[in-house]
Amino acid sequence: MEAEALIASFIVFLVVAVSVFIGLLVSRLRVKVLRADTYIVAGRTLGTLVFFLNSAAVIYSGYTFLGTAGYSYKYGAATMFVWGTSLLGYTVGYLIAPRVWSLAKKHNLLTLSDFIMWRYNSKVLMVLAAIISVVFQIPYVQLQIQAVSIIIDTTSYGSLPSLHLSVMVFGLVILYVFLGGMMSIALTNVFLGALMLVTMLGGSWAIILKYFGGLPGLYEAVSSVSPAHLTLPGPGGLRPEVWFVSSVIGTALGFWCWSQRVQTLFTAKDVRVIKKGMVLNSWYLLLGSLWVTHMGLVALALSTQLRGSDYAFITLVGEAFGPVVLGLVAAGGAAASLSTAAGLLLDQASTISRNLIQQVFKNKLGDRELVTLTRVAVVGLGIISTIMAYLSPALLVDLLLMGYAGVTQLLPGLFIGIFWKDLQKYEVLSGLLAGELTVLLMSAFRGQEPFGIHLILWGLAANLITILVTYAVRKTVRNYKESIKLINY
Amino acid sequence: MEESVGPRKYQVFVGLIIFVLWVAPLPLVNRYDIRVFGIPLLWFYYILLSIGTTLALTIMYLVER
Repeated sequence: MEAEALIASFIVFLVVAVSVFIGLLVSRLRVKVLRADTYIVAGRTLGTLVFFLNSAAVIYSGYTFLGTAGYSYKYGAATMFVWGTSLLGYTVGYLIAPRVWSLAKKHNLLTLSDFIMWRYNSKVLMVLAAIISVVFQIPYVQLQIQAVSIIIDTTSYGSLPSLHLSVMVFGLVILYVFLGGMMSIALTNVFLGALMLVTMLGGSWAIILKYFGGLPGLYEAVSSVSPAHLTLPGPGGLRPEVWFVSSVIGTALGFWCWSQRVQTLFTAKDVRVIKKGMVLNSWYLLLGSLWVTHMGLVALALSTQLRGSDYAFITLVGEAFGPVVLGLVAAGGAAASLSTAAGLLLDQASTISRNLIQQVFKNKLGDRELVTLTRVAVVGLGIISTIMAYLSPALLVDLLLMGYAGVTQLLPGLFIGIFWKDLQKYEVLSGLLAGELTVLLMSAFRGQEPFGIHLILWGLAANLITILVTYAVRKTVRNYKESIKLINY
Repeated sequence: MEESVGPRKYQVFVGLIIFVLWVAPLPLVNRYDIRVFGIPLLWFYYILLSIGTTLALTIMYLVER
């Protein structure tokens, strides 16, 4: 291996080692009493800084680091929808999350599916919500392993077996999640979240200033190479305005339907922490990921040779600043992937142990047994994700593309149900099935959504219409039964 | 003091305004030939709106304290 590759790779592995050390240390110090809420939601004790950086690290994944730059390289201005997704997501979160947190604390809810169970008292609905959450998260975890693989591949200049090493790194993450649960994840994420922010802000702006002297220079260069990248529908006319608008609305509404994000909400110690967390997360986007998005434009303007569009950011850093900075920024990218993978893994495992096993088959399972079961699930899911990372079937990519549309169908049951007291399990169940069926069917014709409106909104429309129709039918039947009773009386 | 868990009416209103601002003006600002401080209008608008949304959330929190 050449010296450059050695330096960059060493920095990435050093950051991984520090993260694992923190995770293991926390598991030794903090998780002495094996209570389920301690293991799964950190005992609802997190203060502002830890809550904020933990939620940021779980939310911003390898996709933020690699994917958004790649997206702007391919589609140009359409990539700005991810800013709207996050910022509108935090706006919705500011308004709704405190109530969700308050209910979760009052009723000792640990997962999103717990919330569904408590609100509708329906095991069928809870199991369905749990299956939707877990299934759509599987490709998300696998994606993180592949993102780390891309990072190792780039920093080692192709001289290391990147996928094998990525899986080994993932194995270390499984170890600290297994031992320390949410507390290990959260405190490790303080380090990873801070590193991500510094590398996103520093790396992006260093590149923009070095090559273009500022934003106007960058846009000027892009307009001379490909002006289509600066406006919608973008190159090839692939992302029209209606796609942008429906994507912003759909993904913002679905932002808090991801089970792992809801679980991070439950870790806050009070409502004030949640609200401050939303505000700070919006600053995180503004200072960090907003500028990473521009890296695709930079690669385009400089006609940088990329092995794939997702390589844009780290390839640029490597070419501009050499191995040390490349190692640091790549470590930030690895941090984004590992922190998200850890959060996903714990959420999936706790959903399986709590909602698919404890609440369905073994109601008398104690806290200690539940933690053990969750740990077994962490390992099991880790092994499944690893196998899938090697096999990498096309099915996973399809699942990921459907992921947002799929989980967003939980929206009425989750958030509308908080405010609409008369909403019952019949409406939510029928709406959820209609929404998921619409998403599945329309996914078969991806790219041909009617009127260019994003799949998510078609699913939600089917979902909400079914809810209203079911509600009307139930009301009519109830009124009819009451009138019969009165006549008989 | 116990913090309120439900959104206030003005907060919901501000939230709705922010949502509208993210989608409604798109046809008007979808131009790259018009530049503001050297930045194409579409990009300038959404960068400004990102700053505006962040400030709105920050102010909402500060006012509520």
